[in-house]
Amino acid sequence: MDRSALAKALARAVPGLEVIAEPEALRPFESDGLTALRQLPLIAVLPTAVDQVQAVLRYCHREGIPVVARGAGTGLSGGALPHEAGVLLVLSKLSRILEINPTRQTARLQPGVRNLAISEAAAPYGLFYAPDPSSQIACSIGGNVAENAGGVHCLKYGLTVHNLLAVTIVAVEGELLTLGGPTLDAPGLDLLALFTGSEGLLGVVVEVTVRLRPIPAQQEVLLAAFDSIRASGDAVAAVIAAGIIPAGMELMDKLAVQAAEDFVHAGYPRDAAAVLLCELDGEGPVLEATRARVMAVLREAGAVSITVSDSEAMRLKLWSGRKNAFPAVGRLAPDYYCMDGTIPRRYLGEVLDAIAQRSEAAGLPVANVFHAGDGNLHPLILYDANAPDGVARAEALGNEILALCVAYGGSVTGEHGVGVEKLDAMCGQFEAPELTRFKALKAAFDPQGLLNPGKAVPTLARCAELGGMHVHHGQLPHPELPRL
Amino acid sequence: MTAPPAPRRDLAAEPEVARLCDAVKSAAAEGRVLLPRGGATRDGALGPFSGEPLALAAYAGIVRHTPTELVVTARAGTPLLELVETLAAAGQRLPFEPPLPAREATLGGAVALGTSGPARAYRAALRDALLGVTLIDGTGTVCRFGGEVMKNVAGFDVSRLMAGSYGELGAMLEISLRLEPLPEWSQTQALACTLPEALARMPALAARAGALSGLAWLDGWLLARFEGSAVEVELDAKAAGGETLLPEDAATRWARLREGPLSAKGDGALWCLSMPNDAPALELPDANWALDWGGARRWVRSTADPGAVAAMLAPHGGHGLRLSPSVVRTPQPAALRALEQRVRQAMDPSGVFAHGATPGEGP
Ligand SMILES: Cc1cc2nc3c(=O)[nH]c(=O)nc-3n(C[C@H](O)[C@H](O)[C@H](O)COP(=O)(O)OP(=O)(O)OC[C@H]3O[C@@H](n4cnc5c(N)ncnc54)[C@H](O)[C@@H]3O)c2cc1C
Ligand SMILES: Cc1cc2nc3c(=O)[nH]c(=O)nc-3n(C[C@H](O)[C@H](O)[C@H](O)COP(=O)(O)OP(=O)(O)OC[C@H]3O[C@@H](n4cnc5c(N)ncnc54)[C@H](O)[C@@H]3O)c2cc1C
Repeated sequence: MDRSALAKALARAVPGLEVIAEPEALRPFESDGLTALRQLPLIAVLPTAVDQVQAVLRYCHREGIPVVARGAGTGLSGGALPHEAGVLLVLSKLSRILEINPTRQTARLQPGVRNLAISEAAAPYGLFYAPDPSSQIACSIGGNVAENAGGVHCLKYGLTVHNLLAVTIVAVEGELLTLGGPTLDAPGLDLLALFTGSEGLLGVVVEVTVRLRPIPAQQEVLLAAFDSIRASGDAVAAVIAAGIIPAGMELMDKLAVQAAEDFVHAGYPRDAAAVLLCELDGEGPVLEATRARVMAVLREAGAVSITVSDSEAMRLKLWSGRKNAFPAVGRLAPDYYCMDGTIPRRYLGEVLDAIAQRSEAAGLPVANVFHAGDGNLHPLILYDANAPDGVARAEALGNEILALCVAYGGSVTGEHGVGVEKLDAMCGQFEAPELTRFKALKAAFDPQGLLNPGKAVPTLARCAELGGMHVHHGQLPHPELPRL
Repeated sequence: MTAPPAPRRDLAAEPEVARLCDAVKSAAAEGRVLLPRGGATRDGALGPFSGEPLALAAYAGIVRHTPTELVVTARAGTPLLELVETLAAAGQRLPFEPPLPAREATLGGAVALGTSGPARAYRAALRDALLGVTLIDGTGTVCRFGGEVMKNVAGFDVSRLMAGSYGELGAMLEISLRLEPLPEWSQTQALACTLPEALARMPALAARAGALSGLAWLDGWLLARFEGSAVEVELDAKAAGGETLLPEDAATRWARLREGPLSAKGDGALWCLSMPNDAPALELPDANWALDWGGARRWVRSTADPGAVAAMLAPHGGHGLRLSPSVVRTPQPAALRALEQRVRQAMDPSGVFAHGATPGEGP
């Protein structure tokens, strides 16, 4: 079907539906946060009611048309990259907060509600929504569910998956299903856990019930400076090893610290090799006791200086450097490429050293600013997309870093998802048996493969083709598959 | 220098695992049904099953406990009690406070049943703490999902799907869990009150951020447990009021709540109900109640029939599991049941593990 025929047909099938079919008007939707990848969809639709979402899916299911869901488009792995022959289903207009229930400590939300709007709406009840991605001003709760998003406070309060009670989805054939429920545990299989982080491959989120938490009495942040990146990584592991779970623990290396200082003047020590931000929360006396323990561990681990926020204004100022680190680093080079690997925390120091070596060998600077407490690295590779081989060299270094994470027992993505970006990296982390189960699970929800096709799970053939690049413990992966 | 990372072990190469895989493969080829079995402590309650047991209790032992990382990986047959004791010796514990019914109960059985204790409402559910599972799928192949890291969104989250899978998605071999430090201090405050009074008081107690780790009502007492640093616990306990229970007394009561606070013997049926905490006190004939999870989990012994229980729960969006005289659960939407069936087939295409251990729907 061509663009205008599909637009007409859908407008007819779904009364009142906003349909965009002009290529120029589709331009803003051609990529998500991973702007290196662009593709115009055939058309985009912006439903304003759940029954419109159902009708769109019913129509596309009948006609065999691919559907890609899109929230706010802040994703960093190309998960919401449109399909050239498909419909882009934009959920940003379903943006109502349906209910805040202070007794249950829950909020019921439409998928397009912005992450930060939840905590803002809950604040009058003394509650907040804990998972706080750095993109929280913009990203949607539907996108958070689809990516199992994390944030600074997930160290103590858990990821999206830990803070969900129910998700209502429209299944591929248009049927409404609720996974989970208003209770703390749901009967039957935990399909809510399976769905969380499924990157729009299993269904379209149209309503979310999240758990809220009481706002802590007080918060403060400790800023510790280190004279080696290794020492800062080891310090993070030492805090966890001491049995302390701070509200958040974020690391920035020298490049990131200097970029942030230049950008927002947060008051970071410019000469430090690394800066650790450690947030503590609780009532006054509790804070005091925890602060003393954390400071002792950090000093023991080699912190050269420790600053403690003495006011809310100072706390926010110290955080502003971290919160603006991505755009700040973005000013250092024409382009940057954000990686998202995870490793066991005890290897932080070692892996950061190894990344620095590879960065030097590749001749591409890497800035690190990341969720250290969870072992979730975000190396930002600085490059120039217009230079010859610019993109290819950045990608090659990125893949080296991800392979390193896997070798240390980690994962190629902690929170940004696989999307299209990490399909190859998936071949290094999983082998044929797991990939086969993933495909079968996808088919259990979507037998024709219409929802976000080609994302998140690589085909066995793709991995076989890559086989030569990912030699695992001296063995070729998937020896059972024919080589191309 | 930190030790170099442990290379990924090839479990299928272990003779014991190879034997289990072969057993699954031949059962699949011959159309037989297998029942993964741990300590078999729930055999009586969950029966009758079709299927031959696939014994996993012997596949036991802690594979790796990294105290500095707050992570443990253990084989599925590891006795839960042994695991709990080993962790305690290192100053750590499982965050979901699992029932410890008998020495034989295994980690695999606990994960397959997905049971969490009183801490579930304020700390973590069993599935929250699951980081990775290695299993034998329905084709007799070893698959490894998740791992030992805190965050991992590569591929679908099959590890967490295994919580509450009743052995019907595959046989678990190794399980990785997030741990928490043992609290420095634990204290329980008790207030004498009726059930409706308890329900009315609980939300205020849960509205304060802090050390709350259990909120229950048992034998006419509202129990609020606080765990954490001594300073934090003292502050929160004082704010809660009531009288402080002696540590042994408190431990006994929380153990009862963890393992089932009402006796399985006696008239009528024993139910474990799940509903929103703001559902009112419910009326059932000849009922004897206990509350956990701040009122979101309600245990009851009553002569009401399953249909009446389901009808009473429906308006609140609740559901229930009857534990005795036989196990049944309140019905689920049909569309969801069909999807679950397709998910089972995705993990187990030939139905080797389709042994019907998942509680049937009553009445
Ligand atoms: C500056 C910056 C900082 C970031 N920081 C973080 C961070 O700290 N932590 C973190 O986790 N992420 C972070 N991200 C990544 C991104 O914000 C998250 O992945 C977020 O969850 C995406 O939400 P979205 O609404 O923008 O989704 P989109 O980008 O629109 O979509 C993301 C994926 O979800 C699917 N999807 C979206 N809505 C639905 C729906 N309703 N139903 C089904 N599928 C749907 C899409 O198909 C796609 O696969 C950051 C991004 C940026 C640009
Ligand atoms: C209906 C019910 C009633 C309960 N009643 C009580 C109670 O009164 N008191 C109490 O303290 N606890 C109770 N529990 C909790 C239970 O006893 C514990 O969770 C215990 O850990 C089960 O371990 P097990 O090794 O004995 O499991 P088993 O009885 O051997 O198996 C239980 C289930 O788990 C599956 N399974 C076992 N091992 C594996 C594996 N490795 N891989 C895949 N599947 C596996 C089996 O197929 C079976 O479906 C109850 C649970 C349920 C569901």
